[in-house]
Parts: sequence; structure tokens; C-alpha cells
Amino acid sequence: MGEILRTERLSVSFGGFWALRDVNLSVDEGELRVVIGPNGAGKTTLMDLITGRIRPAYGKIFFSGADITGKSPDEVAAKYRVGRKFQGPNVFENMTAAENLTLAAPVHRTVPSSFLRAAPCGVTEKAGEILEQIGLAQKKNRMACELSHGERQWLEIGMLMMQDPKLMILDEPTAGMTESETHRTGEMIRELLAGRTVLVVEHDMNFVRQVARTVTVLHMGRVLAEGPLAAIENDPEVVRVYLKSSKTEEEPGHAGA
Amino acid sequence: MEKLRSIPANRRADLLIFLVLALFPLAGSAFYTQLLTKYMVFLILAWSLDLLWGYAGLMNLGHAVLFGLGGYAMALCLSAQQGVPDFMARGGVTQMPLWLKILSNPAAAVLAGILIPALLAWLLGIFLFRSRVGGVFFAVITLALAQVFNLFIQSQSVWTGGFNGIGGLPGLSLSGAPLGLGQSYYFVFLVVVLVYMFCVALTRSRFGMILRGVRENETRLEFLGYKKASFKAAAFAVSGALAGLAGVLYVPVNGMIAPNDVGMEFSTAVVVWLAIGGRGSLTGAAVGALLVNVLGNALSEQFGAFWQLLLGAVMIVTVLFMPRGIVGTLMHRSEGREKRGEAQERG
Repeated sequence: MGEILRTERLSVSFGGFWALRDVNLSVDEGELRVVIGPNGAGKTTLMDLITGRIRPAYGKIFFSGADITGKSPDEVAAKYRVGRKFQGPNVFENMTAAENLTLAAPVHRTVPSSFLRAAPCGVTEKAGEILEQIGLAQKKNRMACELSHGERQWLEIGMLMMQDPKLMILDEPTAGMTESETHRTGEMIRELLAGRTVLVVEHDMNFVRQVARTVTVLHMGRVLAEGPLAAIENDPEVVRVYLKSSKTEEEPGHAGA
Repeated sequence: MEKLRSIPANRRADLLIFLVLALFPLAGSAFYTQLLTKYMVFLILAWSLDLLWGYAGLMNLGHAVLFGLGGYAMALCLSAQQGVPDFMARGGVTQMPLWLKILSNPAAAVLAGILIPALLAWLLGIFLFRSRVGGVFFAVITLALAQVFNLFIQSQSVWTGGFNGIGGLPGLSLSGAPLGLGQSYYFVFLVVVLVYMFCVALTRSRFGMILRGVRENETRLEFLGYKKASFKAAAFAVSGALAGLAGVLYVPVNGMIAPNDVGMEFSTAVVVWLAIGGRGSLTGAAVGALLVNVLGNALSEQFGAFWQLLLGAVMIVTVLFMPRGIVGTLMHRSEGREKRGEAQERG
């Protein structure tokens, strides 16, 4: 399978600080790519650029062969079919779990097509299937704000599955989850998203080991290393700037919890 | 009976409200029947703001401008039935301008009274929402708009009757035959029911769900592939059309329209109805509009202007202790009870 996403010398600066500089990234269709890196490495910025939330200072983004640099978020989502799960659950709080999924369905997304019209048949059934898969079938009529943190994260993954994008971007899908929830999320991503092109930003190394094959390491706005997980974990440079520091960071956190 | 239970609680409450309204003229005096005709027009206005504020989360503090455009279109039409209206003649106008000739046709006036506010709202919406004006800034801009519109109406006294407004207008009539008190009442009632059915259909449709998405999390909606500005502008336009329709009906029912009906004060009143009744259910808007106006009428007879103070106190208490409004709070409680019931059955 060929390349689906490519960035060329992608760079962005915020008030003189280069958050990303000359990032060349290539993701193949059907690949599950994990992006890791210390805080402030530019991981979320990279996702913001790909989904059109911010524009690059220079550099290009190509998706399925088309230049999508500087396109608006709705166009990137609707026309090019890139879906994104945000850092921390980002759902429609005062709507039910089922409604959240229905709204994510890639149908009737314009004013004329949605005006006084119901969603086409099939959407409710699809939403029902996904609710089963993400373990929320019993809670489909609960408001999103009544669900637990982990359940809301899963709900947002379900919204992405509903959206059925060509590329799924998951920004820290396990943030704030307990260990067992994190593990379950890993299983969910492995099983439910198998065969899809997925770009995951993650901090939790156990999770990365659970799901990853190819890993890209960002550090201070640049690609520090890229390759199979085993090679990355033994790369002395990566160990020095990230893996070691993240371990020392994690220790006090675990002691506290 | 089972079927009745499957209807949401607030829709059953709506049916009850309509039942009371349908039976009222049989028991109520002529005075109150006439008054309630006017309050029914306010129901349409309240729903039109609920679509915008309750569903899409866009607080319009200048809603009376849209109402006023419909009202003035109808007032000009009714006053121009026998040639140049008096207030224009006093300003030196001797011949009917072309636009007034067109507007003097009632069908044209109704259309203009609905389409002009809808168009204004849509254009304003495109302009504001494309430039990412939202939240409190949208509210402040619409508030300013209300003041500007009020001043504009007052300054163009040759064409609008100025400060005194346009009065002495005939009541509702169908194909030339004036309607009696009861007939007018049921005519407005019929329009109210039709508007209600439209609002229910709209809010239950995918469009309505998308509007709630705008209210809840418009950024998320954007990343799901929706152009949020288009939906907000469309919601504003629909709201404008219904507010205009309310204005069109208001003028023959009330017999006059004045700058007071189109400025900041009346705009704020509509916001108060919704804040007290509750937003985002249609029922809350109806309850708020009826309750505030009926109580306002009864209490101002007793206490005079002191009633405004009472209303202010009620408003503050509602916002502090029942931010969902009366209907919103009741619905939230009954939902909570149902859920606890379910949990007990399971447990």
C-alpha cells in the first residue's frame, strides 16, 4: 500500500519560537504510526497543522496526493476525510452518547441537506454497532457529561469510527486514564482500528509498546528518530532526551498516585 | 395510554398548553381573549429566539429588530390602504412611492415581513460568523443593533411615524372581511400551532441536532466536517423569519407599533422570558412567554411599575438557583428520577 500522508519541510513558529522546523513525515496507508516526544516537542502542533487548525510558516502537507496545506478544518475533515480525536475528551457534553455518534456520521453535513430532514437510515444501526464495540451500549441514552473520563475518551474514538475517515489522528487517547482503562484502549485501537491508517500521539510507553510498530520521535520541533519500536528504544539519542527523562518524570507521579 | 407515555414529558406539557389556549375564549372575557391573542403572538417570538439561543447557543440581544422589521412592514401596509398615510402626508409626502404601493398589498407585506428580517439576519450572520464573532461579542453587537434600529425608526419619522409609531390600524381580516374577536383569536392560534409544528420538526431533524452541536462544542463540529458559520447563519435566518412573522401578526392584533416594540427594552424582555421559562426545549420558551406576560399584566394592575422590580427579582433568583429555567429544571429532575428508577430495577 502506498503513501497517504506526507509533510515536506513543515515548519511553524509562534512569536519567533520554532515549534516545528523542517518536519518530513511519511505515513503509509493502513499503517499505525505513533508519534512520541517530550512535552513541547511539537506533537500536537503537528496534528493541528495536518487538520488545518493552524497554518504553517512554510512547508507543505500532502494527503492522498492532494496539497492540503492551509485548508480549513471542515474541508480537511469533509473533503479529504481526516478525522481527529483531541487531547482530553472533546465531545458534545449535553448530548447523549448515541447523539454524539449520530452527529459524527459523515452524512447530511450541509444546511440544505440537513434542513428538516432526518439522518439517512443506516446511521442509527451503525451507531448501535459502534456503541457495542466501545462498550457504551447500555449507556447510549446517557448525556456525555454523565459518563466517566475513560468512557468519554472511548466515545470520542467511537465518533471517529463513525466518521469513517481515511486517516485517524488520535492525540493522547489514554490521557487521564487508569492503567486498566489504558490497556483496554490499547486493545480497542488494535482490534477496532485494524487496517485503518492511524496516527497516534502518546506519552504512555506501555501503551506505545502495546500498539506500535513504527515510531516517530519528535524533539524540539524536529524529527529526532524514526523506525521500528525496538530500534527506537535502543537508540542512545532517544533514550537520552526522552525515554530516560520520561522515566524520571514518571516516578514521582506513580509514587503520588 | 402507552403511546401517550412514549411522548417526551415536555411535548405533553405543550399539548396541555395548547388545550388551555384552545378552550380559553369559551370561558374567558373578551378583554382577556384579546390580550391572550397578543401573548400567543409572543409565543412565536419566544420560539424564534429559542431556536437561536436555546438550540444554537447564540444569544441575540437585538431580537426585537427582526420582530420590528416584520411589524413595520405590516404597519406600513395597513396604513397605506387608503393612499398616502396621514403621518407621511404631514411630512410632505403627496404621492405613494413605488415600494409603498407594492407593500400595500397584504400578501407582499407578509412576504416582506418574513423575508426581510430573514435576509438581514442571514447577511449579518454570514458577516459576523465568518469573521469568527461569537459568544458575548455577538450579544453585544446585536444589542448595539437594537439601539441603532430604534434610533433609525425614530429619525425617519416621515416614513415610520417616528417616536409615536404607527397607530389606529385595523385588525385581522381575511380577503377583505374583518375577523371578530374570537375569529382573530383562533386564526392566531392556528398560526401558532403551525409554527410550533415547524419548530418541533426542525429541532428533531438533523439540522436541529447540528445546531445543538454548535451550542455544545462548535470546534468539535468543525473537525467533523461541518461549516459552522453556515449553520449559525442559517439558524439566525430561520429565527429572523419567525420573528418577522410574529411582527407581522402583532401589528393587526395590537392595532399599533412604536419604536418601543423594536428596541433594546423589548429585546431584553424576550431574553427574560426564555431565561425564566428555560431554553432549548420550546416548552420553556412558551411557559416563560405566557407566564411573564400573564403575571405581568395581573401584577402591574396591582403594583404598577413596581412589577418590573418583582420581575427583576424573579429573574435573578432564576439565574442563580435555576439556570436551566423553570421547564429545564423540571425536566432535569424528572430525568434524574427516571434514571434512579432504572438503576433500582436493575440493582
